[in-house]
Order: sequence, then C-alpha cells, then structure tokens
Amino acid sequence: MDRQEIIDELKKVLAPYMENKELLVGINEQTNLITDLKINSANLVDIIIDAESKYKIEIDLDSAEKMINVGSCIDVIVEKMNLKA
Amino acid sequence: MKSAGNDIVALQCINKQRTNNFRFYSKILSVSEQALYYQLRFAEMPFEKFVWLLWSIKESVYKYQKRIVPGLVFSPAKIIIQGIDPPCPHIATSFGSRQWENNNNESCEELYKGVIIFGADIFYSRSKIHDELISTVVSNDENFENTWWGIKSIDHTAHENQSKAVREFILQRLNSILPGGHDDFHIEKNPLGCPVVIMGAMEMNIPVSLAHHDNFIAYSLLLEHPLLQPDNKVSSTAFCAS
Repeated sequence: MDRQEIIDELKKVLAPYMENKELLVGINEQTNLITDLKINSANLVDIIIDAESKYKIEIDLDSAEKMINVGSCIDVIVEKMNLKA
Repeated sequence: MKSAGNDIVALQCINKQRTNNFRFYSKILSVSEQALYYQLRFAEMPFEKFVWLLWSIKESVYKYQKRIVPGLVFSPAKIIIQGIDPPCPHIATSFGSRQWENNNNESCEELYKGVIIFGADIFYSRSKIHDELISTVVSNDENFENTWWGIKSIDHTAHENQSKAVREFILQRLNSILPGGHDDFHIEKNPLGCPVVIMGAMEMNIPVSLAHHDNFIAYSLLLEHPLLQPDNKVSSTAFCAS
C-alpha cells in the first residue's frame, strides 16, 4: 500500500469526525487534523483506535503523539505496517 | 510566564461503550491514574465520566503549556494526574442554566480539584461536572485567585458558530471586569496558535483559553495585576503587553 492509497483510506477514518467533509477534498500531507480539518481534539483517540482497526496495527503512545497531520499519520501507519510485515 | 488553559467535554457526544474499552482509556490514562478511580470517592461516578474528566484536565494543561513551550505536542500519557479531590458527596446535576461564570469570592466546594505534574511543573485543576458536560480550568496557582472562567450552552453547533460564540462570551466577561467598555477588543490567534486579546492593534497581556464541544463553549482567562481592586474593577491600560 503506497502513501496515496493510505491517504485515501485515512480519509474514511477521519470523515466520521468531521463536520465539513468537503475539507477532505484538498488534504495533503501537511494538513493538520485539528486546525485544518476542524476535528475536535476529543476525537483524536477515536481516530487512533479506528486506524488500528483499519490497518490491523497497534499504535503505542509515543507514536500516537506524532499523529498531528496527515503526513505524520501516514508515517506512523507505514512504520507499524512494516513491523508486522 | 503566565498562561491559561481550559477544556470542555459535551458528554452527549462521547461514546460510552468505547470509553469503557481498555484499548481506548489506556491511551489516555496511566495505570496509576486508572487506580485513582478505585482509590478515591468516585464510586457514584460512571467510569466513562472519570476518563473524560482526566482527559479534560490533561488537555487543559497542554493548552496552558502550549503558550509557553512552542511546538509542544499533546501527549496525554506525559501529563500525570497525581490526585483528584472530588466534592463529597458526588451528586450529578443538570447544567440547567444557559450560562455559568465563576466568582472569585464564591465557595468552590462543588468542584473537583486536581494536582498534576507535567515535566518539572506542577499544575492545579478545577472541574465542574454536570449530567451534560465536564469543564476544567488549570492554573499554576493553587488558589486560582486571578482565574476567571465561564461555561455556556449554545443553540448552533457548527464550528464557525462555536468559535464566534466563545469569543463573544469571553469579551463580554472582559468588558464586565475592565471598566469603560471596549468595543475595540477582539480575539486573534498568535503564531503559536494560542488565542490572544487585542485592543485596537495592541496585544493585551491577558492570557486566555477557549474551548468548545458540540453545544457547549467555555473560556478561562488570567487577570493578574496589583491594580486589581477589591471590587474586581481594573484599568485596562495596565494590561497592555510590553
């Protein structure tokens, strides 16, 4: 799964927690989950749990704190997927 | 450096089942923090409410420190809640009124009081818990003498409306504290992403923190100055940032 494929899947993880889903159209690796996508911080753990389920990975606390923007989310997901490969 | 930090959780938005799942709460609470639930007098409080109380405390501390430490990343596990003193008895009540604001002279017996360690710093928290919400404010002053905070319910939950409403709410409070009326007050975000009070083109030395979740908004602000008078009226010019 390449980074673009991961972004496409990540959109499905983020969408339930977004009021304005049109914001997903223009996302890139620099897009910040809270300031750009207007996701409430109270949903950050939900997103981590959902990402764990979708990609069948485990995201530890040190990795979770890096998941600030789309690019860092992908970095963590790729790292954890490679660990189980 | 002084700062302000607060948070609000709209309880109708939380997923109770998920919150009670170990996979979820173990990403927020350490083992020692989980033990607080059983050690203290939280028996009447549902566990999911306890989890979100601690979340709101941690988020408040993060917002307080973000103003001081540029680039700080929110890491709930590194913000360590040492203890929480709940009111006795814990009685769940409805928020009821549309709006609540603290008064520095009032009793705080109804509040949950916490002590938190983050790095080398110690913080104190005060939280209001109702059936509908949890609202927390933090300070490095155990007595919260110069901390002002408020909670309000709003009708329209769109993000833009939440943002506008919480700004209007805090400016109303500032205008009630600072004499003379200040139509030229407004709130902007500084380069660190923290809200600041602007008067005209000048940044005021008044740390503020804003929070919103669904139909609730909340603010906290620190007004600390020797010119603070017994009637809580102060001169606004005393707070211009140098």
